[in-house]
Amino acid sequence: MTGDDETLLLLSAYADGELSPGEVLAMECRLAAEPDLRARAARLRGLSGAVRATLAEVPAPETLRGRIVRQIGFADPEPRRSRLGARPALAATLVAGIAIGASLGGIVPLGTAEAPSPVGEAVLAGHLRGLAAPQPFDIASADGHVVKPWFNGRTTIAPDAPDLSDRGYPLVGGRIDIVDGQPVPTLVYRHDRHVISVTVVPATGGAQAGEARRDGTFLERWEAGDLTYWAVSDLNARDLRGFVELYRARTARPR
Amino acid sequence: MTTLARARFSQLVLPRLDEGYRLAHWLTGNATDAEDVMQEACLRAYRAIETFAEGNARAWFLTIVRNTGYSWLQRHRPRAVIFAEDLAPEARAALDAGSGLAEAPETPEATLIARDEAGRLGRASAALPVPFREALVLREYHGLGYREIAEVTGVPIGTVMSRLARARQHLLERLAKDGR
Repeated sequence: MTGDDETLLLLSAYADGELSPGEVLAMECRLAAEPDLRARAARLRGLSGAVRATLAEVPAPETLRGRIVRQIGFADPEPRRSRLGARPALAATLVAGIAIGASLGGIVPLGTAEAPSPVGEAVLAGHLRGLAAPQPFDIASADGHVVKPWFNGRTTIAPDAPDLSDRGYPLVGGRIDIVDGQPVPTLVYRHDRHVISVTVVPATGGAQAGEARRDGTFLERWEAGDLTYWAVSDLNARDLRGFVELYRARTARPR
Repeated sequence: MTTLARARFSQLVLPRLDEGYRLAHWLTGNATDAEDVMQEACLRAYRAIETFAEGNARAWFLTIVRNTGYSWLQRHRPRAVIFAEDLAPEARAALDAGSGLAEAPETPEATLIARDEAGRLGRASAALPVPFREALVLREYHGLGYREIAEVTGVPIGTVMSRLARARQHLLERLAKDGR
């Protein structure tokens, strides 16, 4: 870092009141001695005032509050039975809320696919967060024998992580997602440029295998043993189904 | 539970809608997208409201808006989500400190930026890379401290400090150039 860089940092932080007392003292001594520095400080102050006014000028739409209140308010009163009928009232409420929110504002489900459950929502959120992060995984490895043990001590589930690269679905790593307040393992695969997250949660019972679609992202769910698997991706439904069948075939073991 | 959740939502989130909207607007760059981000962010906030125990509700909500905005950008405009570290050397150099100061107007009075320059300032702010823009918005408009900005954006305080300094430097240079 050059001296000028450092001065800029200090001056900016000084203007924000973020320097330690000692640094403030040093900066004030410098300001008293250096007219150039005083001019820079004045420019920064002027900029701050102008930027603040400019940023606040963006008009907030008056209809926003109404839309949000409707979106949330509708989610509240009457729990609707979901198609599967076995979900708790909260789930149905949220599903209804999402559906209505979508019809009002156009966020969510398209077509006929069923909206995801709360677990599905958490799984989806984990997937999207993974996409938004610099990497969709916490550990990068194409070796299932590295990824699987990595989950030990981090979650109570360590899923098999077969390498499916021979069929075009290379394993790229794993990460921890939080579902229902619990850390759960997620395997990350790639297919071309698409990311596939396989999140494994304890089976809650009642839920059948199924799929859901949300805003261009597909979720596939199935049970194996006492675990529920979720595969999430923006792959098209057919390729995702193919991946799921492949994954299930490779992880199936004789019982 | 839903009554409680709704009450908390009214208390914690509704008063901050405009504030959240402006953050979403500066992140996505336009009104329609900002509304979509806000709707999704509010739904997320509503679902998470039971798990928000105590603390800084403002930073909590802004974090949700910010993260929702990022997922949105990633989905719809993946090229917009770049990090300073990923910038090409020339672009980084453009954000670096130094050279521009010599070109700045000589008198401090000249830089008490006039009202009619607000449009240029707005455009210059909107042209900043997302990480710099969000630091600037969270500091100047939302008035968050460095520590809070670090929490909301998930980067170290030192990074917040340098992003802010560079964003400001960049704006000053742009204004100085446009002004001549």
